[in-house]
Amino acid sequence: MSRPPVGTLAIAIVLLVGTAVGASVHRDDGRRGSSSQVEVVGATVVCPDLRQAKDLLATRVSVGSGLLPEGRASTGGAIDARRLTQEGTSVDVPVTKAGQVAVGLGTGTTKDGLVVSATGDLAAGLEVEQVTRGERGLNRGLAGLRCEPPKPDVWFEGGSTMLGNETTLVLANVDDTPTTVNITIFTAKHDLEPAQAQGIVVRPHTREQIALDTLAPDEDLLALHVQSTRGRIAAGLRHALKTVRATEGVDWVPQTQPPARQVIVPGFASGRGLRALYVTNPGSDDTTVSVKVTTEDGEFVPSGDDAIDVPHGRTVSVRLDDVTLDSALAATVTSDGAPVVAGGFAKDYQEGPVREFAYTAAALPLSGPALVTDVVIDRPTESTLILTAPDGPATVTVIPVPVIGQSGAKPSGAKTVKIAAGRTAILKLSTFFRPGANAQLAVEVRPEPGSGPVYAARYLREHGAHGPLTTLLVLEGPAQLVSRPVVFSDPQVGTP
Amino acid sequence: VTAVLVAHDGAGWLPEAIEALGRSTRIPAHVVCVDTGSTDGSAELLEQAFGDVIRLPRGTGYGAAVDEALHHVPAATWLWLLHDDVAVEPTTLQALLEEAEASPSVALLGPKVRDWNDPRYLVEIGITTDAVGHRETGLERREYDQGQHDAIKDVLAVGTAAALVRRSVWDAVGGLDPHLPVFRDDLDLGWKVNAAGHRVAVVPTALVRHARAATTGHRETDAAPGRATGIDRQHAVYVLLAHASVFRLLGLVPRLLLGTVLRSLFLLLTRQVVDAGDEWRALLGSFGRPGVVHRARRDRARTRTVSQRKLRPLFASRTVRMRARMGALSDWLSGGGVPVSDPNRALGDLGPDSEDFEDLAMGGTGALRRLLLRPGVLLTAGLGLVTLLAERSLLGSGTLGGGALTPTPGGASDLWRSYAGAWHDTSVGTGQAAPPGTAAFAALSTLLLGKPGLAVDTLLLASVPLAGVSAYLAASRMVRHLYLRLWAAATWALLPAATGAIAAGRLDAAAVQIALPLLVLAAGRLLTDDPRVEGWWRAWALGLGLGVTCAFAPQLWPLAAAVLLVGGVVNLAVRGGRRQGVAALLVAVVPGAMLYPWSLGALAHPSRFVIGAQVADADLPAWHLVALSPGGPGAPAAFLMVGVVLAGLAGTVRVDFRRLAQVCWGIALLSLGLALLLSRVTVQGQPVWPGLAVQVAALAILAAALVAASGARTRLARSSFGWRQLLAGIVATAAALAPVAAGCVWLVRGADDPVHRTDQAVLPAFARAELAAQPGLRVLVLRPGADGRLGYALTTADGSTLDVAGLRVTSAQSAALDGIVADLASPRGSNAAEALSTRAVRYVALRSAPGSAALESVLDAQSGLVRRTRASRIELWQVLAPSARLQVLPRELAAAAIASNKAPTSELLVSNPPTALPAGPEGAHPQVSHGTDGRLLVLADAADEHWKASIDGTSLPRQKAWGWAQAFVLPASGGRLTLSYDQTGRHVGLVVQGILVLLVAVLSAPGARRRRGLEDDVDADDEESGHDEPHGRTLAVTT
Repeated sequence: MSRPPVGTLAIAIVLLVGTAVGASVHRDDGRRGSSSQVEVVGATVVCPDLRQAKDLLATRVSVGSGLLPEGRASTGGAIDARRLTQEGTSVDVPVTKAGQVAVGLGTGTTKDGLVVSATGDLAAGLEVEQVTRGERGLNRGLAGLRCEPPKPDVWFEGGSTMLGNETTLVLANVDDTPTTVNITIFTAKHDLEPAQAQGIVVRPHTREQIALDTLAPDEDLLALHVQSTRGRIAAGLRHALKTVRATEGVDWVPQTQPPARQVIVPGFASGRGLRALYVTNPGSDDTTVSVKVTTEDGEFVPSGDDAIDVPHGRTVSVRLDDVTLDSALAATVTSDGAPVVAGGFAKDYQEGPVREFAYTAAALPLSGPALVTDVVIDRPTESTLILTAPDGPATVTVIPVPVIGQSGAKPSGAKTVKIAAGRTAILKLSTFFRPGANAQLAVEVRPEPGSGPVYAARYLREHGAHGPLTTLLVLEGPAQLVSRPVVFSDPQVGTP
Repeated sequence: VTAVLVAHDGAGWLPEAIEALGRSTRIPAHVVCVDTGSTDGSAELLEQAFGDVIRLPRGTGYGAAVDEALHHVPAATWLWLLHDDVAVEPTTLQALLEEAEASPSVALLGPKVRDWNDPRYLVEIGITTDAVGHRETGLERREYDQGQHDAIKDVLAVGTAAALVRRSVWDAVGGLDPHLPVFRDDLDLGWKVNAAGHRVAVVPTALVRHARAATTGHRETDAAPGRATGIDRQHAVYVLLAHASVFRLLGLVPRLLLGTVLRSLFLLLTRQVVDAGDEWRALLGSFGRPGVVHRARRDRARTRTVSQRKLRPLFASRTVRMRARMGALSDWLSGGGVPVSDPNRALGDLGPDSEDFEDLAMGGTGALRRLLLRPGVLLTAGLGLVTLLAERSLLGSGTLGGGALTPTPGGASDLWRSYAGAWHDTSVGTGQAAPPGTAAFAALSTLLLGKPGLAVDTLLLASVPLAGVSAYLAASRMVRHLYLRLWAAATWALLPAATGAIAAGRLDAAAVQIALPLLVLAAGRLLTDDPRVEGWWRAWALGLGLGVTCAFAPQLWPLAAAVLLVGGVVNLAVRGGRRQGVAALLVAVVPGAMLYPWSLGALAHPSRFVIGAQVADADLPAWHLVALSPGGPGAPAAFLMVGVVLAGLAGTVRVDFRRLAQVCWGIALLSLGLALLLSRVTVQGQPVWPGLAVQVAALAILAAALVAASGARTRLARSSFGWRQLLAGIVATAAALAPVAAGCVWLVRGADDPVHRTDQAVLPAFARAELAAQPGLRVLVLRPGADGRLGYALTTADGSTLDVAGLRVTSAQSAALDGIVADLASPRGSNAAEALSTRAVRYVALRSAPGSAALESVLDAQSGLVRRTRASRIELWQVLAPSARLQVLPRELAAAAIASNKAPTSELLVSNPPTALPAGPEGAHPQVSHGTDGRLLVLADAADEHWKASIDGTSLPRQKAWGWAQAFVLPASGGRLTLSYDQTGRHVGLVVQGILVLLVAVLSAPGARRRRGLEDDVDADDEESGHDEPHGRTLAVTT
C-alpha cells in the first residue's frame, strides 16, 4: 500500500455515481396508473315495456345523446332502435349526432319492449327514457323509467303484493343466447328464494313478465335481487295499486344501487303526501341504520331515525312525511353493519278522488353531464330538478337542449345553480320560459369542474283533473368516460 | 538356450538391461547381439558387454534381425528373444525353462511383464485379439500387480520381450513374419504356434520390466516408418487376414470395411484427421497387397493343424472388450472427469495448486472414502442438504410452474418439434424463429429420458449445489486456501440471484449460475495463454460452452461478447497478444453462430434477448444492484452481500495483484452498468430482470474478493495494528457471514413462491375437452396483477408452454391484442368479444386474484360473452360469436373483412354467419363446399407470406382479413383444401445451424492427444496430479 489506491477510489466513485444516476432514473413503462379513462364506444339500453292502449294508455320514448365535451372531435356514430321481438323490427330514430334529442318514439306499437343501441359519439351520452301516461283505470298515472343497459345483476327496492297491488317484473333478453336468472325477494317479513324464481330462462330476444304475487303473495315492502347466472338481463319492475275506492297510482320501480354501507336516495319532492324511505338488509346479519336528510335548509337526522334496526333479510320503511311537507330532500342511509339497499316512495295527496305515486332509488352522484330527455312544460305539468349536495358546495349548469321537431317556445339560456354544502336545491324547469309557455324540451345537467358531488332527480307532476300524475327520474351521468385497465401480455397468466 | 538381443536406439535402457541379464541365475549358452543401425551408441554398449555385435542396417525389423542372428550361432533347443528395453530378473530364464521342461507341449513361453518405470503396474500377461483385431492384454489400465494374475495360463500369444520359444517350432512356423517388422509380430507368432498345435503360455513367476519404447512412442520405428497407430492398425488387419479361414474371410472383409468407415468418420468428427487416414491406410495396406496376404495365408495354412474353432477360448470375447471399455470409463470418472490442468497457467495464479485433487489419480483401496471426504465433495453435499431443506415445498409430484417458469410440454419430442417448426401457435401465431432455449431444453430433456419436466427440475432445483461445484473448481484455480475456496463457492451458490432464480423459476439464471464460473475460468486462460501453444480448440471449446449456456440464457451473449471484445482489444493493445485477441473475438462470435438463425433476428430486434416472463421489481433501487441483489421474488434483503462487494473493492488495494482485481472490477462495472440499464427498461410492458448481468458482476467481484483475501493475514501482519486491520476485520467478517446469512434466510423463507409444484390445469376439464375436440381454438386468460394492471395470455388449451414462452407476436399484433383485452375489461361497450372470436378465442378465463371480482362484473356485462362457470377457481366466459381457427366467410362478411381493420359487429356476424372448417392436425384436407363468389377463407393466425392454400391443387390468392389475419379468396366452386405454412426457410436455417454447431463441436474437440506411441505411459497422467513418482521420470516425457 505504498501508492494511494487510485483505482479503488475510482471504482468506488463509479459505483456511487452509478447508484445516484440509477436512483434518479425510473422505468418509463406507462405504468403510471393502472387504468385510463376512455370514451364509451357502444351502448345498448332496453325499455322493457312500451304499453299502449287506445285512448287509455300511451307510452312515449325519448332518446337523446348528450353534447360532446368541449374540444372533442366527432367520430361519427349511429343510433339503432329495434323492437324487442324475434323479428327485431327497426324503429326510426331521428337522432344522428351528439346533442340531439327526439321524443315520441314507439308510439303506436303495442306492448313490446324497445332496444336502443348507439355507437361512436352517440353511445357516450345515450339517454333513453320511457314515460307511460294513463288517463283511467288501473294504469292511471304517469309511469316513467330510465331505460337501462342489460346487466348481470339488478336490484329493485319497491313494490308490494298485498291485496290491490299488482307488481310485475319484466325480464328482457336482448342477446342471441338464452339468459338464466335467479330472483331473491326480500319483504317486510323475511327473504324468499321461491323455487319457481330460480333458473328462469329468458329466450333470446324475448321478454318474460312475472307477476310477483305468484312468487310471494301478500308481502309488503318488496326488494328484489335479479341475478343472471348466464347471459345478461334487462329488467323492469312495475307497480300499480288500486283500492276499492279509487286508483292509487302506478309507476316503475327504478333500479337501485347494489348493497353498500352508505347509500344516498335523492329525489324526495316536497308536498303533502306519504314519503317513505325503504331500507332492505339483504345480508345474513342484522344491522342498525341511521337516516340523515339533506333538505333545502340543511342536514339533520329526524328524531327516531338515528338508530333503526333492520333485521337480516327484511325491509323496513322510514316515514319522512313531516320533513317533506316543507322541503324536498335526499336521504342518506348509513348502516353500521351489513350493507343495505335503499329506495324511496312518494305518494301525492292532491285534492281529488285518486292518488298517484312515484319511486326513487339510491343513486350515485352525477359523474358527468346528465341528459333529461323528457321535460314537459305546460300549464298543468311541472318538471322540477331536485339537486342535493351532501358533501360540499356544488355548482351545476342546466342547459336546455331542443327536441327535434318541436317548435314550442324558445327557452332562455343556461342556468347555473349553486348548491350549498349539505343542502338540496330545487330548479323548476318552467323558469326557462316566460310564464304560461308550452314546450317540450330536454335539459342537460352538467356539474361544473371542481364541484362537489351532486345527486339529482327530476320530478314530473301533472295536476290532473281527477288527481295528480307523477313520476320521478333519478339522474345518472351517463358514463361518457369509463375506466379501461392497462393490460400487458404475460405468458405466465396462461400457466397453472 | 540361445539368447538374441536386438537393439535399436536403446542406449537409454541398455545399460540396465545388460546389467540385469548379467545377474541372471541361468546364463544362456550364447548371447547374440544385433544392432539395427542405432545412432545413439547402442552397438558400442553391446560390444562392451558381449563383444561381438551383428550390425544390420537401420530399418531392419525385429524378426529379420533375429533370423540374421540365428545364422551366426549353432542351433540350441530354446531361443530366448530379448529387447534392448527389457530388464530381466535374475530368475526369469530359470522360471521359463522350468515351466518349459514341466510342460513339453508348450512351445512358446512369455514372462509376466511389468512397467519399466513403476514396477507396481502390470503391463502384459499374454496378449490376444478380438474379431476385428484389437489388441487385448486382459488388464485394466494401470492395474497394480497384486498377484491377481499369478497362474500359469494358456494364451494366444505372448510379447516377444523375453519370450522363450522352442527352436524347432520357431523354424517350423517360419519365425516372426518379415512383413511385420514391428507391432503384432508377437501376436502373429503366438497365433501361428497355437495353430500348429503347440501351446503358448505365460509364466508369472518369470518377471521382466519392459519400457515398451516403441509402443509408447519413445523411439522411432525405423523398420516401418510412419505413425505407430497406423502401422499397428495395418498389421492388425494383416494378421487377421492371414489367419482367417476362407469362410470367415467372407464376413471379415465387410466388417473391417464398415469398421474403418465408422471409425474414420468418428475420428474426422473429433478432428483426428491423421488417425482417420491411418485407418484407411491400414485397410488399404493389406487389401492393396493381395499377393503378400495370399502368401502369408498359404504359409500359415501349411503349418496349421488345429482348427480355428478350437482356438476360440484364447481370443478376447466381447465381454472382455466391454470390460476394458468400462474400466477406461470408470478411470475417467474417478480421475479424468475433473478438468485438471496445469495450475501454473491458471488465471491469477496465486500459488501452487494443492491437496484437492491429489488423490484422484490413485486408484485402489480407500479411494472412495477419500473421495467422499474431499472438501469439494463435502461442500457439494452441504449445499445439497441446504437446498433440499429450502426446497421442501418444491419436491413431489406435479410440474413446476409459476414465476417466470412456464410448464413443459409432454416430451422432448414436442420440444424438438416446436423448435423445428416455422410457425408457432402462441397468441395469434408468429413465424419468428424459436428461441434457442427450446433446442437446449430439448437436448437436455432427451438426455434425461426424454422428460422435459425432469430437465427443468434438474436444472432449477439442483442449481445451487451445481453452482457451488463449478465455483469451487474455478476458485481452486485461483487460490490455495481451502476456506477461501469454500467461502467463494458457497457465496456464489447462495447469491441473491441464485436463490431468486429458483424462487422465480428462472432457468436462464440457473444455467448461468452453474456454467459461468467454468466459462470465466476458461476465458481467463484463453486471454492469458497463447492459443497456438494451448491449442485453438480451447477457444472453440469455450465458444461451444458459451454457446450452450447462451442457448439457455441468450442475454448472456451480448454481455459476454462485450467482455470478451474488451478483453481481446486490451490484449491486443496492451500486451500485444494478437492471437489471444483473435481467440477472444472468436469466442464472442461463436454463440451467435451456434444460435443462428435466432441470433440474427435477435440482433435486429434486441428486445428478443429478453425472453419470457420477467417477474422483476418495477422500481428496483439502484444500490441493490451494487449490492448484487437483482430484485424479484426470492431475493433476500439487499444488504446481505455488501460485505462481499467491499471485500472485492479491497482486492484493488493489493499491490501485487492489483491489475487482476482491476480487470475483475472492469467486468463488474460493465455488467453493473448493463444491469442498471436493464433495470430501467421495459419490454412490452414488462420490467426486465437485470439478474444475468448481476450474476456476471457478482462473479467478477467474488474473484476480486479472493484476490483481497488470499494472503491477507500475512500482509496485514506486516504492519502494526491500526485502522487497516480494523477495517479489514470488519469487511472480512461481513463477507464471511454473507453466505451463512444467505443460506439461513433461504432456509427460513423456503425456495418456492412464486414457483410452485402443481398438477392442476388452467382450465376446467369440460373446457379442455371442448377445446381438444376443436384444435386451434384459443383461450384468453386474464389475471389482475398486483399493480392493478391486467395481465393476459392468449393460449391454446394447454396453456403457455416452455417452447413458446419466449416468442412474441409482432408489435402491431400485440398492440391490437392489448387494445382488445383492455376493451374487454372495460364497460365501454366495444365489440371486443367479436374481435376475440376472429382470433379463434372460444373462452375468456379469469383467474382469481385481488381485483378479479370487479372485473367479473365487467365481463358479465360485456355483450358477446356469456358466463359458463360461477364461483370456481377460475371463472370462464364463452365468446358467443362463432370462433374457429379456420372459417369460411360468406360474401358480405368477407367484404367487410377485407375492407375493414375493425372487428365485425355482432349483428353482422349474426346475419352472415361464418362456417367453421376443421383446422385439424397439419396436413389435413378439409372439404370446402360449393358456394358463392367472394367468399373468404380466414385463418385466425397473423398474416404471413409463407402461408399457402390451394383447392384441388389450384392455389388461392392471398388476402388479409380484419387487417391482420391470414385469408385466401375462395372460388365459388369448392373442393379439397390444402393449407400449409412454407417451412423451407426454417429448415434451411436449421440445417445451417446444425452444420455450424457441428463445426464448432468438431473444432472444439481436443482431437488426438499428442502421444507418440500406441499406449500411454502408465504414469503419464500422474504427472498432472502433481504427484512425485519414485522412479526415474527422465524418459517419461509426454506433451
